[in-house]
Amino acid sequence: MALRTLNSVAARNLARRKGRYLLTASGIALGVAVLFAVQIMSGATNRALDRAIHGGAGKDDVYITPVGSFDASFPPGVFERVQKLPDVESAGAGTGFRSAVTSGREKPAIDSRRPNFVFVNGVDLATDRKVREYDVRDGRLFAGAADEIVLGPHIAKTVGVKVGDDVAVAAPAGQITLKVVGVLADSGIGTGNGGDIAVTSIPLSQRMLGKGAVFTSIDVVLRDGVDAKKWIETQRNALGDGVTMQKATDGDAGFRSFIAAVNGALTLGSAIALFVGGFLIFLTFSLAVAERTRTYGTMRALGALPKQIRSVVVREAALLGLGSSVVGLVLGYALAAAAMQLVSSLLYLRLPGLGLPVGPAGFSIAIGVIISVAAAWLPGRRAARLSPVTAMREGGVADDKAGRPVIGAVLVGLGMALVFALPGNGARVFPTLLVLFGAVMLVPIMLGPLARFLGAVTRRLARGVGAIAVMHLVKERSRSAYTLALVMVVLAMILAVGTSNASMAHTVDKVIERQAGGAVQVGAPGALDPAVERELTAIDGVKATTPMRFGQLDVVETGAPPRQFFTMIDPATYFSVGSFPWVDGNDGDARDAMTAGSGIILPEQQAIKLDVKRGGPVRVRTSAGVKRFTLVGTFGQIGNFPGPVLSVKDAALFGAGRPNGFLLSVAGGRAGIERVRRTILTNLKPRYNVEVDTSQTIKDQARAQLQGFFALAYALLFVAALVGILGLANTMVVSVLSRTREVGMLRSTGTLRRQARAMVLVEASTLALVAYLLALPLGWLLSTGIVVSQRATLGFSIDYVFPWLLVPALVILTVLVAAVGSLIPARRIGRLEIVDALRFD
Amino acid sequence: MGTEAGAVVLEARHLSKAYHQGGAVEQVLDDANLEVGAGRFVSVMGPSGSGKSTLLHLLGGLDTPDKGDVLLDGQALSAMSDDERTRLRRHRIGIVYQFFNLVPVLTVEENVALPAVIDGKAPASYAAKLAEVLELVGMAEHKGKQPAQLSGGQQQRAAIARALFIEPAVLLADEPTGNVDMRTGSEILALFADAQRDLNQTIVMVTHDPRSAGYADEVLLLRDGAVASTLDVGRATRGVAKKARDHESRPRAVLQWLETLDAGGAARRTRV
Repeated sequence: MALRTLNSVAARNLARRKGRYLLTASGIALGVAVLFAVQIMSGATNRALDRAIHGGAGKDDVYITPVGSFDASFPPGVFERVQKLPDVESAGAGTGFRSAVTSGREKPAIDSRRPNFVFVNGVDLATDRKVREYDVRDGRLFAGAADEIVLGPHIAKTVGVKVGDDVAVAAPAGQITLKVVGVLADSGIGTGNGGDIAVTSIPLSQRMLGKGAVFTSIDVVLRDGVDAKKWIETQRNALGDGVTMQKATDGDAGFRSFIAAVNGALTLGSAIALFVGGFLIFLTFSLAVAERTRTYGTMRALGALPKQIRSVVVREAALLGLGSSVVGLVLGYALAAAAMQLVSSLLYLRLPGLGLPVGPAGFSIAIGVIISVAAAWLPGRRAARLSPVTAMREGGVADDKAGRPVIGAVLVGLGMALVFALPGNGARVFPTLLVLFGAVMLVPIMLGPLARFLGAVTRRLARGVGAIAVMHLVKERSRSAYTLALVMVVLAMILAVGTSNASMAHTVDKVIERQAGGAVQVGAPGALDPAVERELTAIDGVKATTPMRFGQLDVVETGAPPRQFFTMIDPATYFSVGSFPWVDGNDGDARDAMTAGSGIILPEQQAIKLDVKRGGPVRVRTSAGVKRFTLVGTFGQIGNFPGPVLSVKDAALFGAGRPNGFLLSVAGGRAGIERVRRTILTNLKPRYNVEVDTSQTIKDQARAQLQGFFALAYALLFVAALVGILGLANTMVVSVLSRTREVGMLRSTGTLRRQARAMVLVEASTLALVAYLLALPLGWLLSTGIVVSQRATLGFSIDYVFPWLLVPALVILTVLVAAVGSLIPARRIGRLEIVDALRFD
Repeated sequence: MGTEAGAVVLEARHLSKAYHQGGAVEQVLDDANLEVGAGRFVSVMGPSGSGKSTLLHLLGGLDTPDKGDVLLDGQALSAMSDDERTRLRRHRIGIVYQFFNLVPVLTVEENVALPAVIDGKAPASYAAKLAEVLELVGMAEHKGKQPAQLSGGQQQRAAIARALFIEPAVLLADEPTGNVDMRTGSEILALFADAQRDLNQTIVMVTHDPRSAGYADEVLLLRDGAVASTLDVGRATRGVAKKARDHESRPRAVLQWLETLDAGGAARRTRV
């Protein structure tokens, strides 16, 4: 006796229909896979950021920097004042700058795009060792103020240098050759800036910076028990204007929020995959309960309580959910590995190994099982409510109420309202699911009329018996409706993502066209020598140049992100070389206002967040205290560049000195641009280590990034489409099974095998085409919501562009879905022997 | 089984039941009454739509009457909750169906033991009883097979074993031979007769077949939703039958009785 409890029947049921349940399990497996992968990625990116920040920060509690541009430094006396502040246990000043290094043995290759950027930090080892760990892997630390440098492990590997080698460092004061005396271990300070760090003495770094004996950062270690946030609040004013303070662990908040947005989008994808998976389970169990009406009725007649019957159904789903979730974990691990490579290459972020994420694994399994159980709850309840009398009847089937149109309409309305109201992809998960649920409830009332309408055409596929197939679809409304809804949801999501993609691509083109302004962009990791501008202007083909300065800015308004990237333009020359993708404003007005000073141009989304209109005030922290600027205009922005835009007229307020880059307008079309690019790389790069980009390559990179993210979304949808096909195939198989006798009768009265096969195709194609018709408005509705609310995530308005080509493409996909979905059942029906079919019970 | 011989085990009092479909009302049972004594084998006959199956459902607590009540061992089913009625079926009522209703994923012995499994009993506690009842119906050698591997007759034997396994106060059968050939049907009916004789099993069987009805002690004729007439088969064949279960004279007596009733058309309500 193997059967010990009634619940063991659940496992037997699963084992009996392995094929069908394998198909059903695929939906949950895929959903769990994506969910697991998202958690692994989220954890890995956060760990990577934590490691980079904590490793670099060490015991540092508060990080103090000068207000303004990357070229800014502290006014004299700030370090001494910091040391005397209350609760300061120790403080260390440093002089750092962004730079690039190349191996001293090789001349930089002209087209080299090797990422050799590095943060050079001049420190006083005696004080800084109290804050950070200095573990040297090879060699030793630098001695005194000699021309020696110690490299982080990653940059040493990237550039290919070892202890004893020379490296050329592109410093703001000019290129300098230094000897590598040590390579840091992959711990402590060696993990700062992802290992792309170089450490040397303060006198040497000050020499390289070329601004005299200045400091650019101060690390503060507070006494035990002192809260850094509160300390900053009380001491901010003690140092006067011109400095910003932040908790050492708050670095890269903007980057984290971007990662969170990416993970939010993936979570939405995962939720949809799980919804489709749960739907498939609901569908399968609804069919199973209908099939097993007599079994469950018999059990009731034999004395099984309703809760025992429900338990059998629900346990069956739980077992299925558990199995598919475990498979999902394996898939998810592989998916995470692939996705992390993609994210790593897109975001230039080195991610750590996947490790063994036990917590996320447990969570993903729990979600998979919970969704499976929830999906089977209704069928289980239906089974529990079966009247035992039904068991007495031959061919008795469970009553299956189909749809609640009023609730459905309310859910669609409520969901859409929330989609528009809530910002961010993560927050849209719930309302999107509401819309989908509502749409599913609306399907049954639309199925009958639409099936009759489309059936007039599709029934011709099976001459004579096609009408019977269409009739089945109309009569067996509940089963057909749920399958139809599954296909509809998949098609609608493809349409929604397609529309989102088309709209984004269109907008990206528009924004980048103007944002990338200037045919050629010249940049360097540190500040540029003033001589660079003269040399650029002298190049044959260069019509005009305009300097660009960058830095970090505190907008002192509620809702503004801390220490955001800003760009400083020279209004006298900027607008003859570049422009902005204006949402509100124009070049002429902006030039005038920025020339007058105290003007600021903001990305549209930030202006909305701050609730400020053109002409309104924006308070900004400057080296002369918090100043009121006037909003000159707003523009669309992709990514975090250029950020808030200030005028060089206000450079003194932000410690902005030497430019960090130039925009060039060039004569001679593409050939002219290429000629200028090569001239710069040949003449300027060896001396100033400048990087050259053309607006075309920037546009291509932006598009590639966008396509990279959409590729992920399409991959998820491809998977969802597969699940939809599985659902359709599942329903068609059950449909054929339940009509075996009828098919036998039709065959016995002269229906050909191919006619019987064609009946399946008629039913599947009618169902899929009705799903397609309903998916069009649903897809449009969802895409409108997604496009409008994407502004919140991406920071720019998106023009709605409907991808009309997708409409006929989806018809082809729909027909394919129907054809593939009816393949197995049609084969089965074609092989049926009449006598066996007539005997089928 | 467990009830004193001769005492009333099952009683139907003024049962009425109507089905509503759309606006139409079909009165299936209308003040039907009957009493079944312990160890008696009662057959219920009647034309299609006369309410035979409905009566059986009400007697088995599978359905509830609009009016009237069913009493099993003096306990009124109408006073019970759905769960209580379910537990009563589990422990006191065995049911055999025309279409066997075996659970396809379970073996014969698992199907037979299903009421005990539902009751949460340990297999060891009912292993002996299970073996006994499988032996009784001649299915011991097929106990490991699944329903799909069995003939119709074997499936019905398994279903009878399942009904007898709980030692029910009453065994209800709904057209038990309706889905098997004549020879197998005879074997099934012989099993019922054996259960009545050897186990003193009380049996109520719905059938439209006079030959099957001839196995019973008494035959009731349902007409217009009520018991129209009864036949004491033993008395009708007294002196004619050569042995206690004469399978020629008893069906003939039932047929003659039915023909007489059809001819006379006089239906009177009778208490059995």
